[in-house]
Amino acid sequence: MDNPKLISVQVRRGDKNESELVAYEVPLEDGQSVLGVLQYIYDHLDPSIGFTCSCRIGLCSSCLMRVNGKVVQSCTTLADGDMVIEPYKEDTLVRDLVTELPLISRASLSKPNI
Amino acid sequence: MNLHIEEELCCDVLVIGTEGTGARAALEAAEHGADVLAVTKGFMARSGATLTADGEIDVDSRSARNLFGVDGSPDDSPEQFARDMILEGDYLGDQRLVAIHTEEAPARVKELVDWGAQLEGFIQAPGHTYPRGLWIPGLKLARLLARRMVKRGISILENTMVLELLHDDDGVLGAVALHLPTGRLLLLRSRAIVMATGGAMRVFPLTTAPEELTGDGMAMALRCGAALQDMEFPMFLPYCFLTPPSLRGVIFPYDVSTLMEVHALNRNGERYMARWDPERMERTTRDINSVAAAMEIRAGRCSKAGGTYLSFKHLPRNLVDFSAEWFPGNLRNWRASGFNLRNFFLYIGEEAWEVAPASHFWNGGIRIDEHCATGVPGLFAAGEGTAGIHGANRLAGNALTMTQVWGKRAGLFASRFAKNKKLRKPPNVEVEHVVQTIARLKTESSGPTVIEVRREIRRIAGDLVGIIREEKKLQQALKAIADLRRDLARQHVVNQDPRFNREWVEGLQNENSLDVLEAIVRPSIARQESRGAMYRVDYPATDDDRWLCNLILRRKDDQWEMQEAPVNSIYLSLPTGTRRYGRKGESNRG
Repeated sequence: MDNPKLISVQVRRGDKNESELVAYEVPLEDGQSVLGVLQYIYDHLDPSIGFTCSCRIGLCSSCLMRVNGKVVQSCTTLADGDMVIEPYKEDTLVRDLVTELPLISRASLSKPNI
Repeated sequence: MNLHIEEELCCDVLVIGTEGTGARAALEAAEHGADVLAVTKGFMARSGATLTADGEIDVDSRSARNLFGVDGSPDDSPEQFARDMILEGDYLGDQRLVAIHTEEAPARVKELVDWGAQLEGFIQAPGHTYPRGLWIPGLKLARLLARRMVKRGISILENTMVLELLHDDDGVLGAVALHLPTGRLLLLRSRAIVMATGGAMRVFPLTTAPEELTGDGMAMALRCGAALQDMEFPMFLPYCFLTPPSLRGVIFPYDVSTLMEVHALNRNGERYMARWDPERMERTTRDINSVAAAMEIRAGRCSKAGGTYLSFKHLPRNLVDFSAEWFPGNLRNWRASGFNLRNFFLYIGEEAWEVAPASHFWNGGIRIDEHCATGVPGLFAAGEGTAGIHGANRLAGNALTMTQVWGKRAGLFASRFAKNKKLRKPPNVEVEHVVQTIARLKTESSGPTVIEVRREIRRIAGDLVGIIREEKKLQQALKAIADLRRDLARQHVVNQDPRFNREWVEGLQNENSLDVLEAIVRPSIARQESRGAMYRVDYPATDDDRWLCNLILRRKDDQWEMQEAPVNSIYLSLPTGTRRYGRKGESNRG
């Protein structure tokens, strides 16, 4: 791609107590996914961004996010323009887009979550 | 990063990895009364390779027929299945392990069915003399096992990356782990450990495997004194999407190539498979397809994105359209894993797809015996990332079988071992040593970023190791690895937020991936022939007189030791002479 189109990507960063939308400019490749856009931000712009993913092919649901208000798997959702990416649930937010509380089925682990 | 242990957990058996193999091991160990702690870097049933498996789990055809009433052949047997495995593995499989594998497979699948698994089909894949592939999608299998673990009350720790095993001369003592959501270091004390962490496919730039598969278990076992074997045989799957970016590594085009007559083309529009297997063309085996594509790419006859083309433009439009209806379950209607290809291609079949071979499976790994023992007292290993079952190449559908047969065995033998052992306290000095290793990931370091290191690992793996190997490039790889090893000690991390810090995880994974990468390169240099999943362009023939041996690696005081071990061939005699790469070797007796 010679002159890739730049899109504006706003990502909700922070935790339950405090969060804000942080804007990034990302070159849009044809056929890129929302997860690919986040990977670009992590690789090139801001490695502090928090998100989870695993299979990257739409099977595992580790990368659920709210993209432009809609809860989707970010790996199979195509990035086709400006977007707002937010955690898909607030009550179990760890940081940024990491919203899952890990399962700790063991009583002896005190204060399991944060 | 907090530089001290914040929590201590004790158990009889520590299982590292919670998917197909780890879950089965944990269930078995618990069944025998062990207090089990199962740890996973990701989320249970939502990470790891098991859930990405299309769905075949192999058992011999006769047992499939007798146990499940499917249309299997009564002429098949565990012995015949073992024979096919040994042939596909190009005679490098440990025949004692292979025999156990095919003997125990039927009972393991029967258990899954008893536990609620639905068999959704029964197929015959290439390399199998009879139909053997019972269809249980990997995602359903992973969820079934996870539910059973929770029901069984097994302790499960998700999002926790094990960093290093602790041991002394008498065996394993436990492990140090990083709890990702909090960034806290945990000391996990145990009497026995089962390593079930899978392969290292993520070392390569194009792969079908999930994020977690970075070779952590193999590298930790190696550093703990265990041996690695057959590491020169990572398996590649031909015809995986190279572009568009979101589809990278998706295996759908390969699936199509097994179901319809497709044409693999280079940039000149030639069906280059004619140079490799003029009879079977694209229907030849996966390894030949991968090597042929890699040779085209190497010769500069690559596609625009650097791969090759897969075309079915020669097929009539209504035929192509109809295939969307009859393709097997999870492929129907142009479903490619979680994608709908109609979102990407205006009319499917009009354009050729840009594809390339992707790293798909790890044939080699930790050397184990029939009890899943590694030689380090208390350290057991099973599943992908252990050697000897598949030899130099794996049969289709046999990965899921491996998880169940060997997961169960590892759980059984680890729980037995744990019964006779005391829980010993790891010496503070050793714990401190591990903690200090982790503490290297500090902001003030002047080295390359963890992202740069990851890129360099994948560059070396892709450009200098890859599918087509040769002495000159492998030596360059060794040099590049040595250079990178110096940088590894001073990887630069920007973010110091302890909560779910991707850079920390990557930095720690980089250390493991680099060990694994070097463990591929060293035996690849030594083995001056082509066999199974390994192709040497400077030694293209298969040499049964010289190279029917397993190459075994150890690491002592930062020095590598490699030795040749004779293949265990108690059932099927080994072939002799030399043969063309891809031609099956013939055993003298069965």
